[in-house]
Amino acid sequence: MNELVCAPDHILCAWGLTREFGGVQALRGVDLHVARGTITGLIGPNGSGKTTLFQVISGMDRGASGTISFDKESILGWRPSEIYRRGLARTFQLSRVFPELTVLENLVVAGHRRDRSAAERALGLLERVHLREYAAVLGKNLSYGQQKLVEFLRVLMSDPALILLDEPAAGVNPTLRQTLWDMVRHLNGLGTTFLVIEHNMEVIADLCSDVYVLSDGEIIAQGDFASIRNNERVLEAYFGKSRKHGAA
Amino acid sequence: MSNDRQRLNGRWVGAVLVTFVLLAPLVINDYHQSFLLQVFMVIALAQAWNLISGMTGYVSFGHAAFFGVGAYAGALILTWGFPWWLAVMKGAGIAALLAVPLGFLTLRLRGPYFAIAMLGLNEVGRVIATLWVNVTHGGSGLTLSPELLPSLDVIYFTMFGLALGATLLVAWVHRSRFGLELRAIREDEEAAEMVGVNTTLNKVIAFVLSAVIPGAVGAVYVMYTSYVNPASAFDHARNIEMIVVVLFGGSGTVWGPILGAATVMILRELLWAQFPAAHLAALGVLLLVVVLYLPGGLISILRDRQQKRPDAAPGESP
Repeated sequence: MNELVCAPDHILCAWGLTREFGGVQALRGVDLHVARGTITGLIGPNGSGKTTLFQVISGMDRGASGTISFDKESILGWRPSEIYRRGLARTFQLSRVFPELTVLENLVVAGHRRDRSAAERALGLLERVHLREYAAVLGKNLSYGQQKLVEFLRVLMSDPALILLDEPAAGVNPTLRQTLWDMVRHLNGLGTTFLVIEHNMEVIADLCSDVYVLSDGEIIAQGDFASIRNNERVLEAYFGKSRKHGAA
Repeated sequence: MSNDRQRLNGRWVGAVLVTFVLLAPLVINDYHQSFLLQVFMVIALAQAWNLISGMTGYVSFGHAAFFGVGAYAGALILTWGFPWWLAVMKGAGIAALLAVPLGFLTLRLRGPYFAIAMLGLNEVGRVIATLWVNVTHGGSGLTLSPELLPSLDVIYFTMFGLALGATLLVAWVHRSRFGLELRAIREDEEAAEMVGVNTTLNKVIAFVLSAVIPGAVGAVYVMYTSYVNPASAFDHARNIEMIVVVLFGGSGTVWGPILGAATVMILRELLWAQFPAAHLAALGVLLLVVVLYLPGGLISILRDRQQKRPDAAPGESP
């Protein structure tokens, strides 16, 4: 059997990822390749398996089969904390800040244990998004949008090489949303790679150089946004057969 | 009030309390000394429970098992003629050795499953102590002759040392990176793991630390009572007492278990003297009121007062 090798310019490669839940196939042999320094989009209708894929890649769900290579390491089966320390971080679809920890503690806990200047670093990040005055406020007392932003800052504490963003702008007001996307662009300019689940196609078109489309647990299309927006299988997945037949 | 000033005040209160405890045996009678000794015991046990359940949210209904193991280990060491301090160390050591595999096994369980597993552990300990007759003397228990035991002053100061040590340990954990990780586990274990916290290792370390204290306390307590049997060593009421005291004072805090232990013990003593038949019921009602109207425990009153001060910094807490 040929050994699967991730190309040097790819930071994340997955081959044949399959995940079943009681007979229901949530992922069906998913292959995915994320190039270093890019922002890659992952789109698909609700229930297509996007979050499951993130769960598997990040180690939260260790029941999948297949192969995942991150930065030349095979990480399938690793604990989430090991994967995080290796440089792959993720955010959640619904905000999961620690409600009874302060904003500063929420960030510091995500820093490396040996990082003596974690608090300074955290305050610097908060400063950049104008949340420094909230450092001593409990996570539960922030607005939902602020919580999502803090969750995003939290994963930056470890300087990850790859960040998986699961609908980071959902439920966030336009001002904070803009702040978030500006930060993503800025970090990407510094070399951080992103894999983003997002329903707003304008954002995907604007940010992503490469887009994967997942439907019913399968990758049905991949390419730049212009190439996938008119892909028949993508249109069918999003709008159903009637749309396709109607258009024909 | 700044955190530095608050810390300084806490140190002053601590220094006054320690001075009082050190001088107390010179001025109080044996009855009151015994009462204080039991307060120290409850503080140490409550801090131990606080370490695992208050910090990580894993509610244990079976920490009395470690107390029981420590009590038997201590009693046996004394019976074999070893010095009292070795009995205390042995009680702590055996509890730690037991806690390591138990922690890895039980801390996979969450919520009520962990609580019930721990409850089962206490029962297993009681049954083993009852059936292992050639070592424990079964239901008859082990009686320690007076010449094997240290003086009441030694037991008093040793128990005080354990209460102080447990409190300092909780205070250190509370302020450390380790404590921050434990609190993150309590808030959202999956999210904590996702930001690099090795949740299994942290929980097991907290569990072992929280087992060592009751192990040592059990060994000291058996010197005080000079007798141990399965019912007294693995007394389920002791589990309830740890939980009640921590909830009463304030879970997950440093001063909460001290405040809770002192309040519960003094109230129990007063109510017992006034209403011998109904004192436990009265205490139960009081606990119900605290849990319903002060879910953060008595310490939350102090914290709220602190935060209402005009000079309080945001997020400042005792």
